[in-house]
Amino acid sequence: MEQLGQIGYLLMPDLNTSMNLLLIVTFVLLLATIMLFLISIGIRIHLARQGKLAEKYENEFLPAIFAYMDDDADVEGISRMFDGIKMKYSIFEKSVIKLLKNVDGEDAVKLRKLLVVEPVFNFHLNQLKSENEIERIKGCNYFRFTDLVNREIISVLKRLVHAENMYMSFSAASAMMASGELSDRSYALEAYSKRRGISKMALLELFYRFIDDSRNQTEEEAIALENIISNEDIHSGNRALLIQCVTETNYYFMIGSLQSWLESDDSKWQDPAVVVALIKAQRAFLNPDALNRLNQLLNHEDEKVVKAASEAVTELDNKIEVIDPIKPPFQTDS
Amino acid sequence: MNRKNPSVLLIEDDPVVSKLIEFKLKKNNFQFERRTNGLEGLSAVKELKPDLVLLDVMLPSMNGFELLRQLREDEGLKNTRVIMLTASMKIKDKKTAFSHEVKDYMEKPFETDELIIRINKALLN
Repeated sequence: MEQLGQIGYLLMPDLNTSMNLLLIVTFVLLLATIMLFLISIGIRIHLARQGKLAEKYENEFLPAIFAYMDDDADVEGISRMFDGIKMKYSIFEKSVIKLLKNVDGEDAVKLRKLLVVEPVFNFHLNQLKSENEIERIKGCNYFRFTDLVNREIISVLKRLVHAENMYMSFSAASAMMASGELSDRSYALEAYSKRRGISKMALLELFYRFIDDSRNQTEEEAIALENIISNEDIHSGNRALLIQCVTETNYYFMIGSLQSWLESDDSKWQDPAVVVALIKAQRAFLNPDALNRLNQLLNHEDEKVVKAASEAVTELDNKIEVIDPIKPPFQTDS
Repeated sequence: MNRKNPSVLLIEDDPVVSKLIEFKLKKNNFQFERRTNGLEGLSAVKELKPDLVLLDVMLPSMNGFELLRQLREDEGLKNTRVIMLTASMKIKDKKTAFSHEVKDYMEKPFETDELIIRINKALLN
């Protein structure tokens, strides 16, 4: 009994302390809950206000846009509607883009012109120069989607291609592809290709946009691409990706270079990923002149290279067999 | 049919596209009504008996094809002129629509002037 009393005496002060602690914790939690509740109400009120404003601006813009589409209003009228209010630009663009997804032909041509009205253009030019990274990305994306650049914009984009943010760098490079100057497009592709960790999808977009006119491949473009792909500063993985892009965009003007790289002893063409990409290019372009080298690669130490070479040889052999029977009609026995 | 101001009921859930069509139709002297889902659309056809229905396929509560089937089964409404206006490019959907005797089938994206031409053509028959 005496021992129990001692234990009870020892526990009592602890119980009081625990109760006090519990009360403090409960109070803090209650306070935090009230704070969170008030914050959530504040956010809801803010979002509701934003939503109403967005609706108001959309209701202002849509009739003007429709009137313009129907030749009842001019671009100047719409240009005057922005009043420098930031939200108006995004609502206007969202409305135009939403309409662009649903209309075609002459309507779409007119709508696209609205995306480049002077206030919108200037707004995005200022975004490009903003201190805020997200604003700069938005600016890059605008020029990427509108294909509208001039020397001033190109000079800003050239800096942004080297940005630490990977997406900004990609978006700036993609926007630069709208330039009519091959040197600008080459600069953007080369700068982006030197980065680590780039994706094939991103590179492929740049590649498609790099090519000025897919129906008219040019020697100048091919030379520019050759210089980029063979650049010493480009990582092997990216070099392989670039070669894959050449293949997928069907850039047949480069067939000679692709074959010479496959046959080269230079170390930059020896990485298995690069060799595989070069083999697949020979296969895709059905280059029979590469058969000798492809046959040699059947003994390569890397199994991926051997597999790719084997598939390429089989396919090229088959195609040559298919082509052969066509020849006899042109031969005469007489 | 009111030949001067024919009535068109648009059953479409996209507000921006609806506003564009409303603008275009009103400018061309059509009477315009809009419903945003299939069930309300069907009730409106029964109630308003429009000269033409512009019908989307993907709709809340009842899709466009189900609405069309119900229209054709209703003795009083089976001759309602319908033009499908949809983003679906599936040939199967086109076949389904024409098997329910729609006047026309327009794919989105569309040209607004062409829509008016097709509506006028459908109203002639």
